[in-house]
Amino acid sequence: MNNPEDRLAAYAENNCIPLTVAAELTYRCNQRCIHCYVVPGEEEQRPELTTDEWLKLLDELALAGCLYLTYTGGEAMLRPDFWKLVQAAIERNFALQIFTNGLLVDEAAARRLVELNVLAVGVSLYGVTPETHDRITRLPGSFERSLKAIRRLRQAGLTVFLKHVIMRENKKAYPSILRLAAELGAIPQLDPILVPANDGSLGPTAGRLADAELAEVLGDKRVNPALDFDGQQMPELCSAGLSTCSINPYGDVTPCLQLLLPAGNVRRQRFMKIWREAPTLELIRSLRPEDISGCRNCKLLHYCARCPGLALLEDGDLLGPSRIACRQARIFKELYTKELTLRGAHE
Amino acid sequence: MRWSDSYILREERLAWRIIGDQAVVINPRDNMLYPMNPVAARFWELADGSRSLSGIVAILFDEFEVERQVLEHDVQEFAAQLAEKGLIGVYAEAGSGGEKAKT
Repeated sequence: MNNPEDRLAAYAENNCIPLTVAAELTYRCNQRCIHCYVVPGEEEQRPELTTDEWLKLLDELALAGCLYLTYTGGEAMLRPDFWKLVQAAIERNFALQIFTNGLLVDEAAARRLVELNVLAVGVSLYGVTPETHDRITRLPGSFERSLKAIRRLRQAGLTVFLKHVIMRENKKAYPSILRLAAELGAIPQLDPILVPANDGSLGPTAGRLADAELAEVLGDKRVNPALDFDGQQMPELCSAGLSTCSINPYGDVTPCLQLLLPAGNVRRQRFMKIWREAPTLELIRSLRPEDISGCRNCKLLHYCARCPGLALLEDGDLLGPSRIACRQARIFKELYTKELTLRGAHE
Repeated sequence: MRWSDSYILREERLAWRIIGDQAVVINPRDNMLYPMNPVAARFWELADGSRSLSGIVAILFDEFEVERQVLEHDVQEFAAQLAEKGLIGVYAEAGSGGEKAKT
């Protein structure tokens, strides 16, 4: 563990410091993506945290040791107080990252993000043609607008992550996305796993790749340059609830955007009280690899990247196997076996 | 103006935290993370524009067991490195007043 980022992450995990927090500023959105995990209508059912509530929360997060803060949504830029919240985060010395679809990023916005020293902006792009991208966002013209936003952000000098979810509707697009990212100087972030809606319904996962398609993506050297596995012998736990958490637009705190176990609400309790005392977080922190009872003796353990959030949301058991992780692990095993055979043939 | 008389101020809009007895600073311009040991972290905390370099050295000398001469040398060198990386400003007067001092 030689690099400072890894050492910092390990220190935060070992000492339960909420180093990384995702703040979902709103679930309102100006696109209607077919795979979105926000439950339709959810954004109208409860009042969002007010500006003052977010500002107070930012003070608490800074005191708690949070350094990496992400504003996401919905579309975070739809909040009328978006710039005030960006400014406030920078004044409190967070390393701020913003996830957006880019539709509201004009030249002035791009310049302002640079001037404010925002660390990075992640922009979703689901294809390299309007036909593919707009079919997924269900907003005609969104491709051109998002692409322009990426160009503006790059020209302004910002670090840009090009966030690309791979699904049936765009399964052939990722090589072109990689080329486009290189051309724009953006950092590609490919994700081949669609996730269920926040209420566990599986509608958003309908476009998941079939096994053969997933194998093609996972085995592509441009996506996974080195198919290496670190000899994992026990189920892995993640940093959710140890050094990371999420806060939704209504103030609910959960261990992660994916692990939606409610820990408390910042309208009723101070963040630090939730972070230190919530029974949900205490439970997560007490877990040991051997507690993942359904996976302990699995022959695919070596290849597994199980997400506890998906295990709970999709399969109903925080401590049990996750079907999507099992699928991926089977594919990784096959790919790795082939890779070893090839390596052997070359030696 | 002597370096020891100049005032030190953290640059605005940097990302940083004191975590435990250490500090981490990120410069979004280059995305570099700078970890700081306890003495450096305390220096960083004290670099709020209200203290001269010699004032900061005096506080560090009180709080840490270190030889004065070694401390003075190390702090000056550290401040010069931070200034070169654009993480602090070095000023002739307190509160970022006056001309930026030559580094």
